[in-house]
Amino acid sequence: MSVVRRNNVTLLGDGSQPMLFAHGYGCDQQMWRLVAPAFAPTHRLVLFDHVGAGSSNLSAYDRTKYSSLRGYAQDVLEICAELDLRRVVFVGHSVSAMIGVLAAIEEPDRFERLVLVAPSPRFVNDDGYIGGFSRQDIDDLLEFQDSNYLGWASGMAPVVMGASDRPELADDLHASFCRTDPEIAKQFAAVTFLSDNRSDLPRVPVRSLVLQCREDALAPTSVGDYVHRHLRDSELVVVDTTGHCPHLSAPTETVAAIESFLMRDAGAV
Amino acid sequence: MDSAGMTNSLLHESMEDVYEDVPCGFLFTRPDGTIVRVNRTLLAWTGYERADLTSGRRFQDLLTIPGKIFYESQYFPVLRLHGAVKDVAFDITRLDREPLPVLVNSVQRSAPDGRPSLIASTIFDATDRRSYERELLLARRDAEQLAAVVRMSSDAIVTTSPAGVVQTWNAGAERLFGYPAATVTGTDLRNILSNGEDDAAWNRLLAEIRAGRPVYHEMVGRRADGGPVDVSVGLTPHPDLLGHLGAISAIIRDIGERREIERLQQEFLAMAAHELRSPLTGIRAHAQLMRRRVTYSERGVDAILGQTDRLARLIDDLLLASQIEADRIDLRLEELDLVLEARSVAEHHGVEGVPILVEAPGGPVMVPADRVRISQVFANLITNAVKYSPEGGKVVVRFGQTSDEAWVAVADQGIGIQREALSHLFDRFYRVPEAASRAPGIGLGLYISRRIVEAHHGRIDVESVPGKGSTFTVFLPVRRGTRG
Repeated sequence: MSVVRRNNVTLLGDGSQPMLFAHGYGCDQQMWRLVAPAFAPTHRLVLFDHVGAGSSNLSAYDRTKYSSLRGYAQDVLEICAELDLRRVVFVGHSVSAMIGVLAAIEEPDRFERLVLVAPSPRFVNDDGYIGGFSRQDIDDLLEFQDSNYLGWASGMAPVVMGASDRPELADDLHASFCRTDPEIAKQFAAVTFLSDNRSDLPRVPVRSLVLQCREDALAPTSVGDYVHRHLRDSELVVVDTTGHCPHLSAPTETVAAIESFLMRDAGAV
Repeated sequence: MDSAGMTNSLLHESMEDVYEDVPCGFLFTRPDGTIVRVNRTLLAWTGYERADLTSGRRFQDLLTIPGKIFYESQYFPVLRLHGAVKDVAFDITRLDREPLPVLVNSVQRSAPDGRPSLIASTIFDATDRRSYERELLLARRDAEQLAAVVRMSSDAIVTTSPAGVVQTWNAGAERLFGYPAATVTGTDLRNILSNGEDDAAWNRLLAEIRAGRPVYHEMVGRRADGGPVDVSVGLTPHPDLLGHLGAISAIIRDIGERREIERLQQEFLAMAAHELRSPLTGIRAHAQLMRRRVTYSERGVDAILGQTDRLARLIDDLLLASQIEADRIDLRLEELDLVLEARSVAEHHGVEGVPILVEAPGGPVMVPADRVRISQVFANLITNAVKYSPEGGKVVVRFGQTSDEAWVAVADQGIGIQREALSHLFDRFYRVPEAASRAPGIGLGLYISRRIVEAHHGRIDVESVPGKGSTFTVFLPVRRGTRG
């Protein structure tokens, strides 16, 4: 199966330098809806769904491969290889920020910049490290998912189409939006919230932007600071918004922060 | 106030009452979740005062931690991009810290410039539904575990209709009979279990089952390759709601191995009786001869003593075998020179025409071992070697030693052993088919030898070329408590 089909890869934009967008846990590539188009005139936009999410090929899901973030990082590198992407600007949200970190360590030559949106290298608190959650919280989440998916599968997915007050948006979003197989979602949640990538941060070989929300229950500012301090070469920008999705709650500010990060030192490559 | 104005204001008040007290919660928030309005029903459910919630609290802050994660990572993105979500399960933390299970439906309202401005949510108490769901999940988990047990079971587990038509067929059944589930489902279990010949027995079983009694029966099933398979079948009736037979479950177990052991035991009993009887016959014949002649005969008494020795050895072997079976071999370990022991055994077991050569090394070969038991092993090996040697063949005993173990090899130039027989050679009651017709024996010698050597933490190997001869090698550790 082609990687493009497997990961439901979408290509947009008029530029030549590739910008690869990776969505986080719980959704799919449409998360980038309010941000990605701003870069279409200057970049070649590559969007995709992780296997198990959105319109990816569910039959490609392999419980062993995707039992760690390395499996997802491998997919990112396969997309880069199949499309022959070079000098990639990788934009990853939440868990996908760490997937980008792993991919860049694996193949440094592919990547020119990383944009880490609300990153967290570890959600669970550890000796002297505040990730924001206890191990029990995460176990509760996995339990909670079970009960939610009973309603989720029947109630949410089909109905979200109907009542939108932004019909122009609803029309071109297809029905699979954020559709996730419950069993896959459960494993992805476990992999996302139980991974520890702190030791990978100092090994990132490229310049990175850490986009931190002013108030984020999933990735508190202390975590953003931690990521910024442990990367060899990074900038930290705090976006004045709450929540875990600045690309949805403050798309304009998010675009501006990424643009200015990409502008700086441009041409000095 | 005129009557129309009066009506309007009454209507407005009534609608306010409905909004406040309708049996579902209403909640209005800003796009970031900050609560701006909440109805009385939700306040009553949660125990909060209105001012507690509308002074800057955010909806997500009322949620339990898993709910908060779900809100940020799934609920919020869908609502932001789609404008609505329906029936999302959350737990709201009440003022008294108890969780209130709810279902949340939200619609996002936008300002004229398209930016979201307000989220309107209706909230339903889902306490009952959540407890049903939890039961459902637990039941599903139980069912999955049970299904896994059935799937992994080495027994065949099968369910049939009251008439015996197969409905489910597990992997154990596939392995036992060789039929895949797809082939068998929908066919009569009788075809596989009773092969036509045993219809009367099968009908009796079904009659018992229909009378509501579980039954157990041993029968011969038919494999996909046509071969027979000995099985035990346990059938259990499962009544339907009206008490009639609704389904039958069958647990079918391969008892081939047990049957084989039973067969060997029967053969062994027959053989042991025969072996015990023949010295008695000899003793009786010599005694009768002496009585008839009324004379003492030195030769006769020697023969009688020889036969009693043979009887005693047989009985010793039988006793030892029963001790071995009960895992009770007591060893009296002492430092033993294997060369000396082997030579002594060889001197007592030589026969005319088959010389035994003990190729002794320069010095002794010492191991900690039980003298009586090890001599028994050597006696068994040397007797066998002599027994199966042709006239003029010779038996050679060799020795060797490494830092860990010592070995003694007994080689003959006899008939050799077929490859198929090698793996069973040391089994209890086993006799090589060609040997059984050629020489007497009860099939215990090699079994006992192996168990004695193993009790010493050693091992016994055999190499054989049919028609050329066999070599049995005993390896024993040179130090106590170490494995050779």
